[in-house]
Amino acid sequence: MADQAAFADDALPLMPSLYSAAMRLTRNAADAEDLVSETYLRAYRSYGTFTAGTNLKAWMYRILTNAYISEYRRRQRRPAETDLGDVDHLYLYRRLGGDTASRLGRSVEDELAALFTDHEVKQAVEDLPDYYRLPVLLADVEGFSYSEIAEILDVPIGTVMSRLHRGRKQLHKMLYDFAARHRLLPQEPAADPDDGS
Amino acid sequence: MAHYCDDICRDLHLYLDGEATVAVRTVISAHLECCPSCADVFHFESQVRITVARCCCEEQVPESLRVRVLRAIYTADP
Repeated sequence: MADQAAFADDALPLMPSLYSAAMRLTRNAADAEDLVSETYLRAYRSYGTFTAGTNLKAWMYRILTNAYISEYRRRQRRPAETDLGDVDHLYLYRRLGGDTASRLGRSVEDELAALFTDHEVKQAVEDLPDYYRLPVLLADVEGFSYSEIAEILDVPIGTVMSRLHRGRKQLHKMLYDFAARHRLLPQEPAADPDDGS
Repeated sequence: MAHYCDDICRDLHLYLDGEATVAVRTVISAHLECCPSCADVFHFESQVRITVARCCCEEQVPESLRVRVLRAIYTADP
């Protein structure tokens, strides 16, 4: 059982990462602040049920995720699952990787920075539907393991893996669309933002 | 890309996620040592992740939020 008096010392250092996740989930500062505030209040009230010495960060993210789902997600219509049948797992690499970087004699880091802005990367993540965005944020931004994500989202590990796989494919496709617009790269029919499918 | 390389790249995310078994990790690491094209794929994918993580985790917490959370905690009934 965790000591409630220690809550502030233990949990406050997590605020920057919780706030960043809240920004990507709610997409605006006012809602992100409300979400983080609500998360801390819920966490404080149930801190007595937290087992000291276990993963506090995962526990806080579980509360954040539940607060987000109960407070915010119901406001949005659940989008239909996107058909990613034609997107292969090396989609971005096959289009932007390897030869572009070596041909120009630039590092991959510099090449990626030239292809899309930081704002566009955030935009691409924020445009993912929740069922992809949550696992992608938890794995690729926060570095949680599959079993921690399964615990946080309360879904089986197999579901985490398939959503991560599909979420990354969709993210890469969106990133390619940004790069294609900047660089006048060929836009494929499936990558056309106006085709409404 | 050779058939064997396809198999290696199929486990790319498992490997980068640190979720591959020790046996699979060993096989992939050994292959990456001697296959520049697969090493290039893995490097590219890990750099995409680093870019995404960097762009998504640099939000500055507003001071007003810190104050609000502290006030909420200290005035809340446990």
